[in-house]
Amino acid sequence: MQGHSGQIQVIQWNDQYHKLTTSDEQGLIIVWMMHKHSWYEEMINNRNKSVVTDMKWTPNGEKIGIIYEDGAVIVGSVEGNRLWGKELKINLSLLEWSPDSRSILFGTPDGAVNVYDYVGNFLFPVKIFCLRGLEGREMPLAAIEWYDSNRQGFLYEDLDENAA
Amino acid sequence: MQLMRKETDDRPILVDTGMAIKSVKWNPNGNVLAVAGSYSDSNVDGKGTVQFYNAYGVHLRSLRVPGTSGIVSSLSWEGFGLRIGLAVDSNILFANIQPEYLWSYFNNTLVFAFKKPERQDMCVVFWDTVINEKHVKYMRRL
Repeated sequence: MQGHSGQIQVIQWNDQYHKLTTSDEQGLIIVWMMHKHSWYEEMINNRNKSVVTDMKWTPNGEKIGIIYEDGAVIVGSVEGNRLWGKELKINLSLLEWSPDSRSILFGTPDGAVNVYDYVGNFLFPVKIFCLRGLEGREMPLAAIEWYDSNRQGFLYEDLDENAA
Repeated sequence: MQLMRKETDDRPILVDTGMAIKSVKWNPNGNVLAVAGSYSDSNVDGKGTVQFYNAYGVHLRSLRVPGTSGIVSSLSWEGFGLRIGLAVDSNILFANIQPEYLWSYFNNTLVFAFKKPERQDMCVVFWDTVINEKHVKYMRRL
């Protein structure tokens, strides 16, 4: 698979639509699809500004959320249409969709996490307790991972609601 | 690290891993959380470590990561949750996950149970280890 000339920074599968999405240090995003046992570039996008810090497909694979270091957010459809965009004017490092794809979480490097609805309206901040007493220390937000409790796997015990 | 039941959870479970965390991933079942990171103090043997927790933040296992730096830059679960892949320096390392099966052995027969993704009940396999024959039964509320 050739297409990037810079270091790869984010790789995400779209399980439902069998696509792979990659981005590099120059801000180039490639959506790959497999055809006859080979990978092809299906879509290419470069905002020519800033770098992609995170991108994630909704659990149903219909939409992709892309965030840039400079605070830009782009949500696109699996067909390749741009659905909406926003400039949040803060550094963004991580993004996560709710399991029902109705809300989207944005994380900043200093540990703030905000909830937006699926069209980009700010809803509320997530209360972060684990950084209390650690203010001022160099501890960038490492991950936001939301598990869908409706996705019953090989559970050996029952979980109460969903754990984020 | 905080584990929340929902995005408005006012009482999340707080877990101090003692590590600088690099990557966190739920297993496909959602009952194990893998947390990769490194210890900054040098008296801990092997800097890079993957800690495994259950969904309530109870520590299950630690996995020391070999490699020059030992720093895990990324981790990923295999679709069945029986393996994890770790990106360490220029290597990809694989680790096998052994879940705690319900099992028993009697009369040359090994009985073990697990859950299939598409079913709500438990799949119980009776394996006669002498004639090497397997019988499968499904049971609810095992």
